[in-house]
Amino acid sequence: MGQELDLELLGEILKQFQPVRENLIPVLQAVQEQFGYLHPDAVGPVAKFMKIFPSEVAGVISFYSQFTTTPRGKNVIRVCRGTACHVRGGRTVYQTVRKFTQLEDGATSEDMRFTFETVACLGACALSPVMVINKAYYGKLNAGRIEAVLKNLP
Amino acid sequence: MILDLARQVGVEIPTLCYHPLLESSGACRLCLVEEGKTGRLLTSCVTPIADGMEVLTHSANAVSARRGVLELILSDHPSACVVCNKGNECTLRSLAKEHGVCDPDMEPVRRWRYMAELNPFIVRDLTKCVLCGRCIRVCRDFEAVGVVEYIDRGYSSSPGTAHRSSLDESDCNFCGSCVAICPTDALAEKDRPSFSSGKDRTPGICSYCGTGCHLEYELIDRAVVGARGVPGSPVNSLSLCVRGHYGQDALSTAERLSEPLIREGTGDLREASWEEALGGVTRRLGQVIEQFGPDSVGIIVGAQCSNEEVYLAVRLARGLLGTPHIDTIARFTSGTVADGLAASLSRIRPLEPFLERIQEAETIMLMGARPDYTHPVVARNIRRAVSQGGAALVQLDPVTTTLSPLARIRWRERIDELPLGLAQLMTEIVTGKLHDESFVLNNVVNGEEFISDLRGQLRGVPVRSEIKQVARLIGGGRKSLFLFGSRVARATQGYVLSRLLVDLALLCGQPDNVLFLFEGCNEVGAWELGCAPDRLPGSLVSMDREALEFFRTAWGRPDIALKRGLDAMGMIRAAEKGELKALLFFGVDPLAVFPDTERTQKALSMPELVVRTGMFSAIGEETAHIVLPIAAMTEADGTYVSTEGRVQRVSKLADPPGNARPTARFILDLAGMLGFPLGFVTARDIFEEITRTCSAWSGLTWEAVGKMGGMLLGNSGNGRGYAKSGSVRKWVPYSPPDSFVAPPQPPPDRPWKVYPEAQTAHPGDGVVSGRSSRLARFGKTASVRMHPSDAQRIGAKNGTWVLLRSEVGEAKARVIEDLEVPLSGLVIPAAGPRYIFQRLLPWPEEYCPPGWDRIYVSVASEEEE
Repeated sequence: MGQELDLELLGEILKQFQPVRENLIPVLQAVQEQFGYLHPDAVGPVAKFMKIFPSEVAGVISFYSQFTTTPRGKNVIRVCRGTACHVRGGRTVYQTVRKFTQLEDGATSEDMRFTFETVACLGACALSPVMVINKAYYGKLNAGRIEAVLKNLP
Repeated sequence: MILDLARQVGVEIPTLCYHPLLESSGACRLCLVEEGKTGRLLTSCVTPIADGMEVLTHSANAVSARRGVLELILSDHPSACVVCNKGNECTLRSLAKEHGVCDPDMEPVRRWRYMAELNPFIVRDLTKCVLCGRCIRVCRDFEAVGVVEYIDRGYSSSPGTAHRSSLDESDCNFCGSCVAICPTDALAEKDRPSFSSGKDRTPGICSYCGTGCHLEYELIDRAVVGARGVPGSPVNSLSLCVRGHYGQDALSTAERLSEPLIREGTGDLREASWEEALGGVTRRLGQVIEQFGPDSVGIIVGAQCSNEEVYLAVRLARGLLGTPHIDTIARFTSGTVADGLAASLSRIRPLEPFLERIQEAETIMLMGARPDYTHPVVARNIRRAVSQGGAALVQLDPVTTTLSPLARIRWRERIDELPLGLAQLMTEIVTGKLHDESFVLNNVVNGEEFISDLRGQLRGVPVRSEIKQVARLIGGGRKSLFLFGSRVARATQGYVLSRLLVDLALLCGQPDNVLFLFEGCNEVGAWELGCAPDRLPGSLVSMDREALEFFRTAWGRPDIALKRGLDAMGMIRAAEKGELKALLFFGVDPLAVFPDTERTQKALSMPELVVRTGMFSAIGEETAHIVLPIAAMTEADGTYVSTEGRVQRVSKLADPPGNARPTARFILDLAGMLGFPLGFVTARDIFEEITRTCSAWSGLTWEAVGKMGGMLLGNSGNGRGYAKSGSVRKWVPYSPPDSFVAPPQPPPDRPWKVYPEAQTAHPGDGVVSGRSSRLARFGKTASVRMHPSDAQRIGAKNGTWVLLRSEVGEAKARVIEDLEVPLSGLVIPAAGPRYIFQRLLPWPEEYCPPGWDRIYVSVASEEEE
């Protein structure tokens, strides 16, 4: 929040793409990958590059839950709320993470270390209960293991 | 598509999100039909017809599916139709009625969302939104503004702006097309003069600018309460702009003048009857003429007067009173250009419809114009041509406009530096062999010389790469259009620039591809009907003996003099000197137009008689002795010529307030009382005389100009109304001189350069728009835009009051910082509720306009501590 967007860096990212409609999602993904989120100020330049209206870019961003317009923590923790995880103790995972990070669902810690989210299913039911931190999956969790993982996060 | 075929053969399938002018999206599912063989349900608006397809539009299955869809839509739609502004206009409500669906037996998922809007035009109540996406499609595809899009998904999705901002903070220009096309009350007009929908709809044209948009006026009890665009017009189709949609309340405001007013001696104005007022005008005009001769009378005609009124005014001046002093107020907004175009082309508008061709153009050159403010519907065509048709936009303007982001090439030279650039461009086209040689040789006077001159010209002057680029964009047989606007007309070089632009078009073999954006709704008519001190109707050049003889016979007045009169500015100057004893303003509010407010006001106190006809009381102090209330465009029959030369007729559809009368009736009554009854009874009689005396008008019929789109004016013969010979015409090139005089440096004590700029909300002189309750909220505070670094230099910032001082006057205004304003430049509203520009502008030396690009002012910060 309140951060300035590095427009030069944004331009560098855009340069790697062809400005055709079907590239909009890959472009947004690349921008989010670089900055961690989609800064509102990025909408204009992306639209200009893609030769579409800013509202169209904003429409796509707001449609997909993979896109976020607020800065996220270094570690994005996604806890599964799916049925399989639920019956195998998903609630504990949720509560443990929440207690450890002191965050509500969807929030980011002030030191930008953690973002805590829940998702409907992570598609790894065999490992349930599951959480994902950034891109790493952690399965068959229990409270002790969760704390050990979280403590070791940068 | 199935739906199109069904409609063609007269089978009715209900629709909600479908609109014939928009690409179908199949959003509402209300047009479901059944495929006969498979029983599948298909959305008929987006399903193409296939071989052997069998479609059941009204099978039990299809009807019940559509009913189900409607129930689902209605399940979360507020059912309080009685208190809904959309009333009988609501498509959803009429569909519910047709299908017999009222209160669906379903638990609604309520989406209470109310978004208060700060703007004066549009209210969004998304609770009533059915997510049909019409507003999104019309904004993106039809208006090419693209402010709204579906935001979020599922239950929470709604049409919204990029940052969920209010419309005021977005790029919305409040054209109102989304409101007009919304099938429910989700988007509604704010502060309508009447909450109920109009009982009557009558076609007409909009009086706010020269585009000549066709629209339907909504009326209640013969008073205008609103307007909307209708599909099918070749000028604007469905589009209108903020003025067309939201400014028509000015026509029925209580501020309208309704009774004649007379001043006795130096006293106040008092109400009087028409008989008394007419008697007063006749008597006092007679006295002036008797005492000082007919040359002591002057007439200035407004840009909103109909063709019939202009023609009568010219006939009154030349043929009845015998004075040569008659001019149109368009002198200020288009005088230089009308002269330039007439000299080159013998006409001031194309012979082919222009506006609809914009969308097919390959290159559009826009010089000194900002149609986004002056002619929003033209700007829409340009946006569509660029963003959908891939046209290249070349913008020649120092000030950034909302069209600038679309421009492929921008020249930001000052207007008075442009002649050199245009000359170089032409040389570049000729040397690059990008011109149409055979066209020039066959159709341009001394074509060979014209080309060889250009070839040899400006040798050795370095040519910027931009110029080479532009040459390739407009030459080489590409479909290029050339548009220009008031910034050119008001420049010292206006005449030269308009001729050079025509030369450019001639060089490319496209004389019909030049369009000047006339701002007044009938400026073209005024020029074409010879409303100028040196002309007669039907002519754009000075009268000669032949023309004179023609009108002496036609009007039965052998004493019409071959004499050049004073132009509009000249008349005010003569009034100041006491040489002009009577001044008649037809639909002109002098202080809204004439420069140097203070001096003009003093000059107007000099004549023995000043008569003003108008719809409203005067801007500033009323100097007239007799004020006559006149009918608006919608309150009298009349024809008007749009900027592209379209003659369109408006029939009287509303009643004027109180005792207001059409200007034409006033002139006819006056002529009768002066002892020269003209014998015209209706506007049609006058129109038909015009078609007999002016060749460009021959062939036009009263019926045909009354149809949607009207008729284009024809060729003006050799620029003479009476010449009917079909002689082969040639165009006259200007042949630019070898060098151009550099513009003067600003004086050291007044270093700021002024850029007068038309306002969207206050087009033309802003007299009518200033009375629209919604438009009047714009420009209430005088403001000037300047570059932030300039602001910093004088210790000002956004909102600071500054004092502007020119050689003649001063004005206070608030600063708006704007990165796009050239350094040491001030963008000042050209008209509008405060009229600061008029106060700063000096009277021109000789001929108006006074080179409004050479006005310099000083600026001092005025912030009180």
